[in-house]
Amino acid sequence: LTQLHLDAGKYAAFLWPAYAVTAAAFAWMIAATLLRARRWRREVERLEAARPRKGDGAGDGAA
Amino acid sequence: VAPLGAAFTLLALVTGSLWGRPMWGAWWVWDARLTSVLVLFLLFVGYIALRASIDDEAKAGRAGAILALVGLINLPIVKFSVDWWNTLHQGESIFRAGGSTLAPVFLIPLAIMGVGYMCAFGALWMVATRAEVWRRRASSLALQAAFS
Repeated sequence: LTQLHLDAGKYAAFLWPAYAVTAAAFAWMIAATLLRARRWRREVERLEAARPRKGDGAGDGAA
Repeated sequence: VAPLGAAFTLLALVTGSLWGRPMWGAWWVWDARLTSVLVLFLLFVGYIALRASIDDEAKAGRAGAILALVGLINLPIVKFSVDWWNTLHQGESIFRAGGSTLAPVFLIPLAIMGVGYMCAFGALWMVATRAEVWRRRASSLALQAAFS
């Protein structure tokens, strides 16, 4: 296995913040996108469950 | 999708600045490449604000589309800024006539990361698009429920 060289020397003060900012941005993007999708999927499921079904005699236009 | 674009652009600006300080001796310079990318970020922010400021979804969509079309003008400026102007940012070094000037030790990891970033953006874009479909479906169902 190739040994990892994690000592960035004098560039460490710039390198690690760049990784940290990138990790934070990706964490936010992934969380925000997935949570938004889940929220609206659940809302659709809730509204569809509450919707009167055909044959219930309500909201299907049957007289 | 605009928040994703804004986040990726902000990431480029911040990490670029962190790279620029030890390489150029400055966090920021008002050269053509950096400024045009900043304009791109501001266009994303403006697009998000414009969409959010108009209640009527159709009108918001139309206004946003016009701003996005105007913003498209900035893309070739970002790409060719280092050729058109004398900038502190290095000139074209990857997609250029005569081949890349980058050594393989830099070019290969850069290419892998480039593909990785595009895949990440594509995946997030698809999830965001799916969320938007769910949102519109929920809006439609809520309207149906209100009028039934």
